[in-house]
Amino acid sequence: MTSTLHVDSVTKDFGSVRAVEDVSFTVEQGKFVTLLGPSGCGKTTTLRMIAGFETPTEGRVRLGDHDITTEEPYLRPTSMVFQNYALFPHKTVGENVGFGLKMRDVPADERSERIAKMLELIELPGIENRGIDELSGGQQQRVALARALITEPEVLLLDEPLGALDLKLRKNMQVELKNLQEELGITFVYVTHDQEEALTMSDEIIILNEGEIEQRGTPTEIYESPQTRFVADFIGDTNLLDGTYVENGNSAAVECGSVDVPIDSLSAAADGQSLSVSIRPEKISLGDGAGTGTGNGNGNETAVTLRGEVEDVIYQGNVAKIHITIDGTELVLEQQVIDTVNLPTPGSECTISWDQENTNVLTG
Amino acid sequence: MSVADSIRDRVGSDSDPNDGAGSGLKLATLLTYLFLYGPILVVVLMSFDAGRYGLRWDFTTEWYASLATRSDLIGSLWLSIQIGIVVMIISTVLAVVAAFGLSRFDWPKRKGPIATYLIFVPLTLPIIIYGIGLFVFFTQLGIGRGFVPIVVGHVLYTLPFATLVVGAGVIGLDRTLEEAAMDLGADPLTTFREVTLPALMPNIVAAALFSFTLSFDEFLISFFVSGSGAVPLPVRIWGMVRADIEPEVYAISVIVLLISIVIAAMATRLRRF
Repeated sequence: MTSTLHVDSVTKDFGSVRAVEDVSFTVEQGKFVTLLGPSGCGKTTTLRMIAGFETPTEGRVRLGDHDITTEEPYLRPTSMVFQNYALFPHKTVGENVGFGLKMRDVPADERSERIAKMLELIELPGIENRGIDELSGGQQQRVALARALITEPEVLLLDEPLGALDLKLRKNMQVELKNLQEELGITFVYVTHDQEEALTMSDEIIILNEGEIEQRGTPTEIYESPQTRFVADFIGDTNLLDGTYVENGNSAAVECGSVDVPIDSLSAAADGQSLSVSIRPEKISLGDGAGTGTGNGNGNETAVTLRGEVEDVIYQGNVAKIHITIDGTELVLEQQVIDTVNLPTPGSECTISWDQENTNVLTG
Repeated sequence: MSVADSIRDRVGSDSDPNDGAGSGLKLATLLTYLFLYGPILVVVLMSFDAGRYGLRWDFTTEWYASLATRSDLIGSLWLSIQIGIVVMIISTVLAVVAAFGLSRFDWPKRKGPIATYLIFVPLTLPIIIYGIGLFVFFTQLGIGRGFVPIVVGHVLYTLPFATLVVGAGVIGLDRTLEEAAMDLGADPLTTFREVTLPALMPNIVAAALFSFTLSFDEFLISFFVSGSGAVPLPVRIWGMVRADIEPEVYAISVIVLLISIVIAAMATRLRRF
């Protein structure tokens, strides 16, 4: 059975506060979709409406042809992994994992069989009789996952499930979660504020800000082609330049103070309109100031080349952040450090360049 | 020299704060505890004293043995235990209901704090008012004095304490545990039975034990509403000590003391608030 999750024009008010405003998206069966945004953006509220812990003020939630907007949480074919795991402290690991089966009146012997199988899947076999407080944070996280998965939900909802783990464990779990999701073919709706986590695991990312969807797309689309100022700023590091759109015959540019950034002419923009552009630091390459930049690829794209002065060099190990000023406008570029001798010295003249297609014009 | 340095200098010469305490503080501490437990010690010593009026103290267990023949004292002890158990059950059940009502019910604007305040205000009221009120109330009803009025009075007295203890647990309860249970298919009643109640059990047991001890030791309310047929132990003892203290009173007092200490110790061990 395939059932697509539909969230249709969902709005949620808490008193006079609007937490979620007119959010719509669909998730196909077996996809890994991440709701990404800063705290208070409405991502957890959206997830809780899918789980049934909150009822939308407006809009519908459907699973396949089945409208679940007002269905009680205990009747929905969804399962949730909570941020704090919410494992029952007075029950053993086995009782925790088997809770959903017990609620579905699965006989005891079948239950223990499936619990054992599930614990094997999360690579913690044979710990049925342990207490929850005997487990490490990472083990608790896996047990919480097992408890949610054992009922074979159609949609698994995950609310920042890796937030409490240390960095190394978190990175391992990211890969494991993704593998597990692909193996089981269950739809995952994942909530996080960690953009790197979202980029690593998701088939699709939905970026929320102040209760509304800013942009949705694959990780590559979100990172490479942000459409709004918020998305460009929130995902990764970037150079954000605010300016005005100027059209001049066939060519067009955004005038950002002392810097003109050439762009393709826009049919949607009028002369003099305020626009922002975003250029990722790693897309910019550094020349020696003698003339042309080295280019960033095979040289047949349209390159943007500017002259400036090296303001500061920040060495970070594998990469260096190089701050450049162009008549008072500052840009940051990032360079792989292959040889520390080749790092520029502050105060020296330089040219910088990037491919024009790496200039993202932000319309929102 | 900075302020911090000068403080460190002064403290540094006397690194262990207990060094300077000396024997004066130790004596004061000892006297404080003697003051706290002195009256209890007197009762315990008297219960083992053979000579009733003499200046000498001779050990005996005679009074504990003769206690068995005192059907008035034993009867009152048994009645107090029965009242304590009934009060404990009613008070604890009501406390669970009240605690959930106060913290979970969707109260209209500002009514919640008022309702909470009204539950806890009896903690500060003079208990004698309860005694008088209950006496008048049950007399008017034609019920008079006895077991039921005592139980009702004790429940009124213990309920705020019990609600406080259970309420602390309800407030501290992790709501996501209940959500997790519902998410896994438990309806609200099953969630309450499987998750909420077990999580609250330490508080509920503590509330029950407190209710029992409070009722067991209660005197003022009992004094007003107990009758000739139903006299709880504290009222019985009070009736016996006016003219001349019979040594069995000391003995039964020590037994009451032991019961209270054991229950209080159990309650303290369970406390999580």
